[in-house]
Amino acid sequence: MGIMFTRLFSSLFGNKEARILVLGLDNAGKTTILYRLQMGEVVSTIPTIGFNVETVQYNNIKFQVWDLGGQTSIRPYWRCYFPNTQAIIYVVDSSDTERLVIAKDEFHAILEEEELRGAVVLIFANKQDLPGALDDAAVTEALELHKIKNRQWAIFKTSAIKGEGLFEGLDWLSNTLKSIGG
Amino acid sequence: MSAFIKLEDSPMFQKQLFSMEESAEELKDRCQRLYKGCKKFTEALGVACSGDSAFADALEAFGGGHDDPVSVSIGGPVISKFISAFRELATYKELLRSQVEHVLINRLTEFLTVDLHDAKESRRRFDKSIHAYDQAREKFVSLKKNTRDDIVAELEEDLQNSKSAFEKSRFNLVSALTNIEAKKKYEFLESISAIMDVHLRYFKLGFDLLSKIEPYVHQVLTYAQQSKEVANVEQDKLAKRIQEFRTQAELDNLGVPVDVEHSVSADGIHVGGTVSYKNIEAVMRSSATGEVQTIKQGYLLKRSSNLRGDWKRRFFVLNSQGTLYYYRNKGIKSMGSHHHYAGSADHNGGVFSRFRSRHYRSSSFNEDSLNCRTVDLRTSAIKMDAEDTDLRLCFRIISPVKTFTLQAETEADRMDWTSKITGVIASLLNSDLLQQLRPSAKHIDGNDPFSTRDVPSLSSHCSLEDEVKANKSDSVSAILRQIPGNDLCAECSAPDPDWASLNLGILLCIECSGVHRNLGVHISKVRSLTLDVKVWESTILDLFGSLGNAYCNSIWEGLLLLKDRE
Repeated sequence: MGIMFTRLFSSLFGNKEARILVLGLDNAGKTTILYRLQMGEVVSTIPTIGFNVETVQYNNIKFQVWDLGGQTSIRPYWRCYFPNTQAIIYVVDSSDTERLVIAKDEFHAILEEEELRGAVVLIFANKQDLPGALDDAAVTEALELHKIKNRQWAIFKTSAIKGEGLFEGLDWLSNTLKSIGG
Repeated sequence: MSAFIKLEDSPMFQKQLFSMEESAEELKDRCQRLYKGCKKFTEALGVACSGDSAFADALEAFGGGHDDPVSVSIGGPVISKFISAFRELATYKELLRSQVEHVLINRLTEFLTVDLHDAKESRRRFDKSIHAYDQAREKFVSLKKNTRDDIVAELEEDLQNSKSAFEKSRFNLVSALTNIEAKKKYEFLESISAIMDVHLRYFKLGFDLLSKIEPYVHQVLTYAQQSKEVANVEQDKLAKRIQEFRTQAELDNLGVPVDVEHSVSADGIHVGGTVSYKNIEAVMRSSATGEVQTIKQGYLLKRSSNLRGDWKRRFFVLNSQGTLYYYRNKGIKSMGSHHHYAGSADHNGGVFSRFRSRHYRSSSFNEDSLNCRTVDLRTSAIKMDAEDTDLRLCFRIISPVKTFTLQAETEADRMDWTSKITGVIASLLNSDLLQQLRPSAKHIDGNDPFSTRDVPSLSSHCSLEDEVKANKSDSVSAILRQIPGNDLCAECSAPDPDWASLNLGILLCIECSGVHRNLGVHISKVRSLTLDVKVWESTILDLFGSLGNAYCNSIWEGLLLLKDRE
């Protein structure tokens, strides 16, 4: 009875729960970010086949974070997860300069999706700890973020390994989601 | 008892008559006793005959005929043949009975009622005529000398008349008795040997009939013997299988991994390791064109999606097409087809139809009647816990639109389910396997009226372009694995590596690929042989061809190898 009531209650008036997709090319650091946010520590990861999903409680918002595999043949399945998504966290390996063009193309393809029209976008310029990593300005340029229209977005320099920039990004995300009353 | 030597009346003649009558009387006595015995015999034959018929009828009711499936299963056609034989035998017995009645009883009756009776009657009339003759003679001899002539003449005539009557009846009696005496010599022998003959014919008929079906009977016996042996073998097999099943179940119970906790760690998706995943992929690949195999099946507790969240025990099946489905009801009670269900368009219809796999239709025939539900694994993941409950042995299958919360009955079973489902998910995402499975899927997409509406249109992504690439990736693995050293992971020597470092030109297992990725792309650029489809250009393949694990390790690990040798 207790569980039943809790479920009923939370489904009607409960904490705000936001559905977040973590997307990006393979080896951008999506899974590491997810578990850094959820458990606060760095876990050793292997390539994600399929996806990981965890709930992250932050600033009174329950983020249901879906970390989707980034390999090329898995990317077509991303769109299965698009419905009812409030926010996208797009993770870029800032040191993988060769593939920034591909990252850009994938990124803009996602923004075209009708089902994600209302989703806010948070970009993590990840792997700032690695030598040769581009900073946020350079990544903004490479991803052509100035082309984004009618959407709230932000970019943060992050290092999932060191734990830098992630919660700043989440702060922005929770404030933005609260302000649009989602 | 020879015939009368002298026919004139005399005390010797009278005595002979008397002794013949006595023997006739005794014969009558014996005849009557024989008659009783015969009656009993024919009655018994009649009972036996109707007994045969009753037996045949009972057999018929038990399993005769070619149509009734139960009859056929216990040998109906054979039994029918035997039933007709039994009926035939019954008619033979009836024939025997009627013959016995005819040749023995009827003749005996006639002898008793006609011949013996005749002798009796003749004796009575003979006694009467003796009396009349005695009277007439007395009257005649008592006449006086003075009696008138006319009276004398009258009495004399009377005497003559009674004398001739006496003579007549005397000879009647004689012939009646000799008749009996004569019949005694042949009557009984004749009818009793006739009875023997009737019996001979009875048994001959029966023998003919049975020897005609004798080969058939032996055939049936042989067949029955063979069936018995086959059944014994099958029973033994079943007993062995039961034994193996129980042994396996006990082994499974013993095989519970002690270190359960690690699997609930961050990379919970990788439970079970890659070895079983490879096996599963091999199974799925082998059955992609052929018969669907069951990877795992069994009962799991499933938490229902309603607010109460109660647990129901359901039979789940994971097959080699990558479909996971479960039966909603115990038994085979049909609750209506899926079409009806989805067509009702209520709150359930739309939701459930979403979970139909792309391969659903091809495996749905028998499932439809069992009313089962299919879980789409392609976009699903496994988590080793349950929401809102601290029950043990739970796991969840999470997909973007629905979460199934399940509970196994043992830890070993939970590990087995999760590792197998994980393996199937990984295999489903493998592009070349997808390619193999797709032809049937395409067909389904075209015909399924619900897929276009309810399932997010995956099919548009898996276009022809994809298929060509997918085809290529199959050969990518094949080409790259042939390069010396590439059959094992360059780092840990795990078999069948399907990840690669593009810039180093080596193949890796998935675990080591994770380590390489952590080094950063300036050191190692990691790609999947199966999941990354765009990178495997011919120039890259050529580069790998001139490098390879063996060659690269001889450079990068050259010092290490030297040290090993020393």
